[in-house]
Amino acid sequence: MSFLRYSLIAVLTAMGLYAIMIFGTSLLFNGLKLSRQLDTGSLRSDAFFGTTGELAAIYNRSALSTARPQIILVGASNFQKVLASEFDVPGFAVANISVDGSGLAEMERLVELADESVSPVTRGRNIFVIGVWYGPFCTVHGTVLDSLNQQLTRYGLYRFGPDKSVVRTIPRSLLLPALTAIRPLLVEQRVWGSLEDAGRSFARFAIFGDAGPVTVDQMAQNNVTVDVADRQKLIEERKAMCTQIDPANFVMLDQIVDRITRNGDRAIIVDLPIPHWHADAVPLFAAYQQAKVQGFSSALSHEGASYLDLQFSLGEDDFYDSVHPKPAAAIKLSHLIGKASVERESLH
Amino acid sequence: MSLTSLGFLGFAALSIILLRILPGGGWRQATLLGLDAAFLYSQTDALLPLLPLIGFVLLGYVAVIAAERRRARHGLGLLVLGMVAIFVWLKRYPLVSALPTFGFAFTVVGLSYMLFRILHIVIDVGQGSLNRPRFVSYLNYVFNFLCLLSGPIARLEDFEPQLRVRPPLPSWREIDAAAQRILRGYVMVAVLASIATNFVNLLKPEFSAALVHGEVAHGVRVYALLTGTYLFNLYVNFSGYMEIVIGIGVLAGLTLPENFNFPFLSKNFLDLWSRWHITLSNWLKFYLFNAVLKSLGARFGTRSNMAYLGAIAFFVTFVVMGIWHGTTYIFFVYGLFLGAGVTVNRLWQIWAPQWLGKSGYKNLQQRQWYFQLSRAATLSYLAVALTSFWITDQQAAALIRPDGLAIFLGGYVGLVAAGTMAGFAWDGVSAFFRKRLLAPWAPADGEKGGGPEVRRAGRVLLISLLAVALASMVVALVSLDLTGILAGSSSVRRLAMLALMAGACAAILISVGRLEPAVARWRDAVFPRRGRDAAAIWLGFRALLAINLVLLMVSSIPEFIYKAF
Amino acid sequence: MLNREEVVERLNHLFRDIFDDDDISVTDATTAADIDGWDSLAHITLILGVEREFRIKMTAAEVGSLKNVGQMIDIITARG
Repeated sequence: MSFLRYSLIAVLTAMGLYAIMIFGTSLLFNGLKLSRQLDTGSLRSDAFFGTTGELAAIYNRSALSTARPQIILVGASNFQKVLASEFDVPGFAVANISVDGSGLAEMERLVELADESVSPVTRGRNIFVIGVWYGPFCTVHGTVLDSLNQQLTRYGLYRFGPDKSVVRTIPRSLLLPALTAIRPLLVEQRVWGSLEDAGRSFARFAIFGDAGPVTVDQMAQNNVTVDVADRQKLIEERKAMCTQIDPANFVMLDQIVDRITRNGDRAIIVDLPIPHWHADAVPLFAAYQQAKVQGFSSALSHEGASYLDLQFSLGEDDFYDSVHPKPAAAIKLSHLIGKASVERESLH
Repeated sequence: MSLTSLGFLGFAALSIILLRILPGGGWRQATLLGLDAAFLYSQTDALLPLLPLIGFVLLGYVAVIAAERRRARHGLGLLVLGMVAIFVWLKRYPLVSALPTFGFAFTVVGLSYMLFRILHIVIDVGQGSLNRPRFVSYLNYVFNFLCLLSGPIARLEDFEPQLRVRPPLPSWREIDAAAQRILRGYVMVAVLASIATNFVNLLKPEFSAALVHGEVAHGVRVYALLTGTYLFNLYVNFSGYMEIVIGIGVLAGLTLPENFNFPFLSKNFLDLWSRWHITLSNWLKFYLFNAVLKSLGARFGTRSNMAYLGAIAFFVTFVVMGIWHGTTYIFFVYGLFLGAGVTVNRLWQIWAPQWLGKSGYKNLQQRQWYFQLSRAATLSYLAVALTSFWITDQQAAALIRPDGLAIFLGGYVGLVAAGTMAGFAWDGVSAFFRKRLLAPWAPADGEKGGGPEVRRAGRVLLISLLAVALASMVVALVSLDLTGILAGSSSVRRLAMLALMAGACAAILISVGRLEPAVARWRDAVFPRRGRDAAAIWLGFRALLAINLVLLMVSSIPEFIYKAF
Repeated sequence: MLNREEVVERLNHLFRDIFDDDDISVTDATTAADIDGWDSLAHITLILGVEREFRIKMTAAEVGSLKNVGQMIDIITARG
């Protein structure tokens, strides 16, 4: 029937064009060498997946399923700066799955995602490095977790389970091919997101005259000095963001470490540095030091868990704002962490 | 099930296949009934909440039977009043919301539309212009899944034959047109409406703030933008849904009446209502306006006062239209707005010929500026009246204060001014395109295919593509210029930039819309014998585009506005 | 039973009176678009006039769905 032929041609055209799109985006993906390493803070990852790292953490996980054991960095935006590409640890592949704005709940989800993709061959030999400071232990707001969950469930690969958990809808073997098939949609999502942001800031400016916040250009970050006036402003922002330490976060840390060590993998809790002018001005820093003693104890009691204190490993010139290390300083941190990963060290 | 869910798409596809394969008569009616039931059930996923609704419809059939038996004037009036009373009670209108209903939660989805369908049958059967439909036909008409949520309100005499007879398969051109229609509808509903809703949500808190702080100048700007965008939002949302539903209807063999006819070309308020939600206006004209005016005219009518009686009838009709849309008092205010608008329109139509003379008035109506001003005033009035759909009680209270009123009126005036200028600009540019750019390449009479037509069609296609590219470039340049030339510029200049952006975006929309006939024409010229296959390829491309766009917006698709009614 | 010519003549008289135009001459095919000022108001005025003149009653559906004068004449001749 002519109608059958008509619909068949239409469907085949649509599928054919989509296949071309998958091919094209995969070329771009491989051209940017994204399949080699999951590194949410790298420029390449920012370009393809966006700067927050959410999309990279979800859709760039094929890099985690190597035959070599993985060192997987999990944390928030300051830990994103510690680029996986800067690591040089023989015998290990390194990945950074940190997402901007993560708290402990988000880190738990990220560890789940990493766990899902790691090759079973490497079980018992992977090292998860959890980068914390006082920030993630504050009262939880959960907006980043909501955003992560939304991204996960958006294309039907995952759905919501009971109690804000997320459950995979397809078998594990199909996960990576499915992620590849969705690549064109990701690119579109990124392009549309940029358009939307540009449109919204234009609308804000045109109607309200509001020029929007100033962001520090990544390239220029190495040369920034935080002067006294800026320091005050940044400290006020931090104080507003974080009002008290929530003990529930220590419980979540324990759960994360439990999950990691249950599989036989190692977990290293790294206490990341912040500039001394920040630490001195915010009372929560001291409260965190106190709460840690009790709070980390059950996490560290697991077999394979250890603690690395890097809180004083950087100078005040090594940060371009109140929390984030400059690229040069981040390299320093990566060397420290790399060294600690291979030695069995516990400072506690 | 949500319109953009795979479930609905699957359901639509299944309906089309079943209704095309199965023979007419009993099979068709039974299949339709099953589909209607499944769709209705999917609205609540439980039977209990649906029972009052079903009961109402069954009661309606009893009323139809009663109407058929009696055929006495007053009996009919009582039947109508009775059905309306039960409707008012079920919908919990303010006056009767104190009366108890059932002990469980129940749904009234689509009840407003069902009431009108039932009344149409009751009145027409009671007056003898319609034969009582069979029970199955009645159910399929009232519960039709395509029209359940948001109309259109078809007439039984047009709809019923289609319930019994399976129509022949349409030509591939008609199928192509229907498929394009459905895609267009999805892009309107899922993409354009999302963008508009985002913009509306950006402006709402600013509006509240301006009201609270009494910032009139700022408030006027925000309010004008807000109401204009909301009007656009409602239009794409509603007419997009109609496109989808009517398109599916064509494929399934159920022809539905149109509900929109280029409302943005309306000359005045009365004209608007013959272009916007057409089936509703027609229903109200048939059964309310005509009836009210007839009885008023029969009792009090004289040569001189008929026009004023007409104005009263219009007022009453439009107030009822407002109340039909919702149960809270704000919809009564909406009705008053509509009534006031139509009254002003009618009075103008009565007095203007008296002041200017009949020919003077006719001349005035031919003037461009009169048309643009009148159109902008009409659409802006609708936009401002629609405030009742989104305004909170707090904001409404603030709007009545002097500051608020200034914002309200200023916003309306601003919108009219902007609309008039936009209208001039728009028509000017389109005329330029049509008459200067494209005219040399209009197809010669009766010519199909062949070298010259290919070249002509190719040029038209090229111009359409260039228009899209040019408009996109304008959008890109203006938005990227954000911190350059615009920094520190006055609010007037910034608004001008915003207007330029809006114009460029509109130009993109229209050029993309004109791409379709341009491609079709080029395709017919280049592939005169393989037109159907070429059309299929184009459809595949468009479908992929539409699916991608919808998936892009899927996380931010707003609650469909129409569902509120 | 009235015949059509008679009805047309009486209708012409009615139309000329209502639309204030002595040149009107209706045929079966005359629609609202053909006569200046035949809007929804004039429509009802016309219907009232027809009902009065020919002593008939038209139903809501008939009033609403009248397409042309021919249909009107059909109704009048069927009922008058």
